[in-house]
Amino acid sequence: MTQTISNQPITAVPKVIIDRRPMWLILMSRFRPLLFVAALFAAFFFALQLDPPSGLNIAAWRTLCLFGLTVSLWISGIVPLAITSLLCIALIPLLGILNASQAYAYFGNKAVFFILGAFILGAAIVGCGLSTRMTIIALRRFGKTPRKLVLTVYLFTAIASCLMSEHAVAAMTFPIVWQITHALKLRRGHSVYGKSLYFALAWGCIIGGTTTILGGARGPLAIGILEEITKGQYTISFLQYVIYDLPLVILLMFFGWLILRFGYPPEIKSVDVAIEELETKIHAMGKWSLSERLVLIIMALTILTWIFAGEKLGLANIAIISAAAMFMFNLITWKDVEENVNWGVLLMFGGAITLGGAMSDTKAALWITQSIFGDWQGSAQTLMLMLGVVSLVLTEFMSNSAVIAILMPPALTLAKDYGIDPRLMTMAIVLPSNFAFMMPMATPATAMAYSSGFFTMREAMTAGMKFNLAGFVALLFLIYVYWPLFGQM
Amino acid sequence: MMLRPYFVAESAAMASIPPGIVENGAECTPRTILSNPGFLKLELMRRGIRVEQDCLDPAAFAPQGSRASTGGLSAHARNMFGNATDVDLILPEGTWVTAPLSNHFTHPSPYLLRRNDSGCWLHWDPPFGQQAEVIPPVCVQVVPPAAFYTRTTSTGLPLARLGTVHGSYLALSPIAQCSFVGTDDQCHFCSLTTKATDELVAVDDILEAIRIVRDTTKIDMVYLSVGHLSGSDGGVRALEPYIRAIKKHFDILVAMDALPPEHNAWIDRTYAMGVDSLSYNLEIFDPWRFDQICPGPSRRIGRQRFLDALEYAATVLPAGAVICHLIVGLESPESTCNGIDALLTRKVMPVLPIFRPFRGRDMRETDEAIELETQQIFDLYGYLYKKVRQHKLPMSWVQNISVVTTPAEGRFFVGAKRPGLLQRLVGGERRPSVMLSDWRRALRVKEVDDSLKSSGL
Repeated sequence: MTQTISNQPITAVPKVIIDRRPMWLILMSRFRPLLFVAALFAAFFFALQLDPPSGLNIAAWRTLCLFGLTVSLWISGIVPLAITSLLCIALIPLLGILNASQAYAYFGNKAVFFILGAFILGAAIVGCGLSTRMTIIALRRFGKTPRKLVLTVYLFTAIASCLMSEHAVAAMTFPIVWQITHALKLRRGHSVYGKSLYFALAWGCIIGGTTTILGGARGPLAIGILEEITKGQYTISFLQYVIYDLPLVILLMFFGWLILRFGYPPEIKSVDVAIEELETKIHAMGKWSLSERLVLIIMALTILTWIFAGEKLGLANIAIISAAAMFMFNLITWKDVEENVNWGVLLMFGGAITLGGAMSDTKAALWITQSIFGDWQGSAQTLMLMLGVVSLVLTEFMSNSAVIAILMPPALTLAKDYGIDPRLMTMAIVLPSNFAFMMPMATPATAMAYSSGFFTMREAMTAGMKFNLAGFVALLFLIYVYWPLFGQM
Repeated sequence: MMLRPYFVAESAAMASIPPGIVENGAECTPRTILSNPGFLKLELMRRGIRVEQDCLDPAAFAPQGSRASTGGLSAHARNMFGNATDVDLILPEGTWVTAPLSNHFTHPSPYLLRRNDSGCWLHWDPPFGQQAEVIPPVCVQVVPPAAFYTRTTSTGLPLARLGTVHGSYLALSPIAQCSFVGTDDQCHFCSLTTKATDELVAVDDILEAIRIVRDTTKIDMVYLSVGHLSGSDGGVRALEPYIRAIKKHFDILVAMDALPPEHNAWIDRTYAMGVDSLSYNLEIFDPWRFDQICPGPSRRIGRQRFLDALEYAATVLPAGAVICHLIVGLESPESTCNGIDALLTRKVMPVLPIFRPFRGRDMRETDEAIELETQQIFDLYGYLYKKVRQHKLPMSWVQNISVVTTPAEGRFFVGAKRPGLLQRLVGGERRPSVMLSDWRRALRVKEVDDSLKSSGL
């Protein structure tokens, strides 16, 4: 007899949810994914047995079947995106579309390594506490009044998302905003000011993340697919990317500020309590550490190199060298990398780029675009706008990387046919793919803000719809006014 | 002449069994009792049995070639209900019964167990030459004693201290304590005498005990009980390590007998951690009597909380798996019937054990126990059976219990036939398998940790 009963008072009841629905309903909901997968694979194998449509060789037909299977799995989310991608890579040689060496070689795309480097740099920023310090300093310095505080959250998250993944920015800002709303005693579901703070967080991250290729994985993925399909003929540099999307970002930022300024008038007069809370927090952090200073210097140098020598040295090479520097200066450990690098995204990238390459190599992408847009009579701009709208709609319901992977191969084939600069076509797809303003499940930034409980799904959708409209108007401006200035349409 | 009131009592006055009246006006004679397993079970529980010398020789049950020394009667008998000893029998129609054997208790029993080449037979053979006619004996199966009672765990703990094996159940008490014991709050029928201690049986000892029993005896349910402990969780936290370990190592159903927790969330937790069947035993439905006889539960938990917790538990656990005992003989039959109705309305399965007085807890002396006529007992079980059928509650969770007449055995008191094989399969007369029970839990239970993880945030 060795154990004893604890005499500690029991305060918290471990939470368990019991599903009380009728058993048949539970079974249906549990096995629906399995049935869907079974039906999907049955349809896939059935389609493989069919003769290819005219004008399509057998390898291209199989690639199309695989494309359908992969897209369906990506959209459904039944298995993780990364696993779907790996499955796709494995099936390419098994179906005789490409040989194994070719298929797996696509995985070595430099976009994958650029994102890996960016993740490691992000891990260093978060790990040393620099991100938290910067956030608190910005909020304390500029957020002196309720309106200024909202604007600071909005601008800070936007600027930070230009330099690191918007998901990471949302994750590091969320606890601080939560602390502010808590200190101000704002009531969930009732406080208009609370809503504006969390909307500012989400929208700042999303718009800021659109600005540079560091804001998220979709930019490097799109550039990777662009390079694979055009056989390295075209690429988009760090600076080019910013130049192409800057008007859109400015327009959206302005629109967001209008909504926050006039749509959510604060019900409080002062944020002094919150500022005091932030003061306490920053004092607790102590002085700037050597690690924070070194990380800041390396990051500044890295961004400058990306801007001014990115094309020459290669974005991925710069990212990897900077990441290595972080290790050399002992600013990050491998454990930090393991915790902060989203390996699933990297795997998803590899699969998407491989599938895009196979679509291009077998001319499956060409066939599908000719079949859909063969009789297209509209202008090149209208075509770009249409694809942009498709991207904008799809991204509300699925991962933006998956949207890129699905739309890019046929869109680039169309670009060639219509004489559109493939870089601009890439931007027309990639920019709207980040406009996940409506649905909380569309992007972690909105999901985190929604989880605060300050706004409802309906409020998120209403505000998000306005943003999507604004995004559409901005895209119109880019396609019909701004991009033609480059003379490449 | 009516049968005597029903107590399993240590009284020499119960030497004879006069004929009585059963439902539908049929005369209850020794012949009808022997031909009706339900009647016989009640009789054997009440009067016990006498056994012929060496009839229970364990060597008779040992595998061929391994017969060893004969332990005689003592090898079968084990302690139960304070101061009686007993033997498990299987009567016709698979009716399990635990019959007391103690000499001073059973001496006047008219039932005699004999063995011949064709098996064991239960004879109507009243002592003192009272037999008026020759009645054909009934063939019964004597359940060999579980090795459990003679073994110890590897840490030296005698398994007999951990619990008992009855029918297809292994009843264990890893936490043999109740904060009511030895205080004014103790239930008046309670047999526990030891003071509470903080020591618990090690989980490994419990697992070893189950392993030993399963090696020798076919059991399909482990029954864990816990008394009143400090805290609001109704003993859930204390039993959780045992239940999780049992579910991890064995394919076996787990039943838990406890007092209701303060919050329903603990009931969710109880099901989530692996409990397949749950008992919150109100024991007495009559509010006044409950307050008098069960002062601790009445004051510290409250009758209404029992009913509320049972009602809630019935929405969580499978139909028929939430059980509440109402002791027959501690309140009027009308009150017990009201209790049956109230429980069934809440989808809770009532089980009616009969009050068994024993030395030191003979509540007849204080008039707390009510002497019921045999007819009233028979009527109660018949009423229970009909009402359970009416509410369409599966009786499969309470079966093969040897120490109490189960709701399904109530059919013997209303003349209902045993359900056919198909009906038993389709109508839930067979106990759900462990696999089905675990599957149901896997489908219905979601830990919040899982939810957060699955949200991907």
